[in-house]
Formats: sequence, structure tokens, C-alpha cells
Amino acid sequence: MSDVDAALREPWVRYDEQCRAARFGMWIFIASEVLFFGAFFCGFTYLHAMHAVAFATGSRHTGLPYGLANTLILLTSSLTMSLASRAARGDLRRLALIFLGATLLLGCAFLIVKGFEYKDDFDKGLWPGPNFALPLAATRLFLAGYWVITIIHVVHLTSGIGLVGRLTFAIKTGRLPLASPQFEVAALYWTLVDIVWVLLFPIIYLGGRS
Amino acid sequence: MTIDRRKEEVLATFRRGAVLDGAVWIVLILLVLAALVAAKTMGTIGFVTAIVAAVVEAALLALLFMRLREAGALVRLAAVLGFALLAAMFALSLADLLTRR
Repeated sequence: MSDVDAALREPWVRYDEQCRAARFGMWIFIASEVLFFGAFFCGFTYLHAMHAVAFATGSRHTGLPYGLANTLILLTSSLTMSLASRAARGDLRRLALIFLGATLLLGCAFLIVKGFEYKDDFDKGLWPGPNFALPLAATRLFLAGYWVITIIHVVHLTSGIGLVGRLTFAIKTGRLPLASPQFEVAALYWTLVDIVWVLLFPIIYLGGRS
Repeated sequence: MTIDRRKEEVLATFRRGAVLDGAVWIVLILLVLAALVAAKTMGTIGFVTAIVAAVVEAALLALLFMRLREAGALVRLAAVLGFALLAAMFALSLADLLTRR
């Protein structure tokens, strides 16, 4: 049985149709995610315009080195995911597994850096609770948005790590052929999570820095 | 075509793609650093520049790493639909704020 035959699943009778359906379905999901995160960006933009000084103050207190490190980590993980996808297309199994492994490691590195950042934020009193450290009331709005959206992003990234981890395991053990459209779907999801972070980086970390 | 020759061609295709991806990655990193410098040195204009740089990065990621550039019409339509609805959401939500005197 060829790789393509092994990748074919019901109800599809042709491999190219299956791939096209998986790609289209994933892009519909991505469009829904754009609106999900878009609602946050829209609300945050509105509040930023209403409380510009407080938002700049809040932004200045976020951990820029952590944010920058995580941006570089995620951009590199998108590169490794894209390379894994290219290797899979060429049926280069060893290279695909190496780049998938690198993507997983970079995803875990992001979570570790984020963990250190959250600890720092708690130590500095940036949780908008009873012992909140910043004087302006509206900085609570900024920090509330920061916690909500970064936690949602972490949940997405953790799902991505699970997805890529499962894919890596299935390919390594021979349960899934490299030709499976699951590969492309996972790569699309991973890059989407990176795009969300790339857009969050200036909004969260770069306001009020000059 | 012999198996070795086919393997060489596959590797050459992978290498060409990897060089393109590497070049895109370098541009993305430079954009992040440019955004950082702009935000730290240019005040409000720098902050706006940083947001524009982030949008360019997102577009590069979508077009090249998510292969939207090579995608068919249906996939492009789904992508455009998402962003068109997002634009409508922004326009309707911010219409009041942007037209206040």
C-alpha cells in the first residue's frame, strides 16, 4: 500500500479531494478564530483609546524581555513547522521528524518563559486583585485584558503542542503516513497561534516605552 | 528515472523551499527588532509603526508559512471572509469613537 492510499480516510475516495476538504475546513476554522481573537483586539483598541495614559502605564510594567524572547521563539517555531511540512511533502521522514521535534521543543520553551513571566507579574503585584500595585484605576482594565488574552493564547499553544506531539508520535511509530492531510492542518494551526502572538506583542509590551 | 535521481530532486526542492523559509524568517526577526526600536525611540508614531510591522509579519506568515499564496480560490475566499468580517467588526465598533469631536 502506498503512502497516499494509507492516508485516505472515509468518506473520501480520492486523496486530493480529502486534502482539499481538510485544508478548506481548517481555513473555515481559522476564519472563526480570527473573529474570536478579533473581538478581543477590537475591545482592547476601544479601551486603549478611552484610557491611553493608563494603558501606556500598564504596558510599561509588563516584562518586555520575556515578551521579546517568546516572540523570537514562536517565529522560529513557525519556521521549523514550515520546514517539517516541506519535508513531509517530499516524503523526507527523518527531516520531518527532526523539525517536528524542534517545533515541540520551541513550543515548550515558550511555555517555560511564560511561566517565569507570570511569576514575575505576580511578584510585582500585576494581578488585578486586592493587592494590585499600579495607582491608576484603568490600568486594571489593561492588566485584566493581558491576563485573559495571554491565558487564552497559552491554552491554544498547549493544544498545538498536543496536536504536534500526537502527530510526531503517530509518524514515528508508523501509524500515520507523511502524506496525511493532518500534517498540513497541524501546521496551519501552529502558525495561526504564532500570528496571534505576533499581533499581541506590540499591543501588550510596546505601549508607553519611549 | 532512477531512485537516486528522484531522491536528489526531492532534496533539491526541499533545499529551495528551506532557503525561502529562512529568508522569510530573517525578515520577520528584523521586523520585530525594528518594531522594538521604533516603540522605544519614537513615541506614539513608534507604537503605531510597531503595530504596522506586526500586521506585515502576520501577512507574511499567512502568505508564505501558511501557503496562502499557493492556495486555491476556495481557501482564499475563506481567508478573505474572516478578515472582511473582522474589518466590519472594527468599523462598526469604532465608528462612534473615530467620529467624535
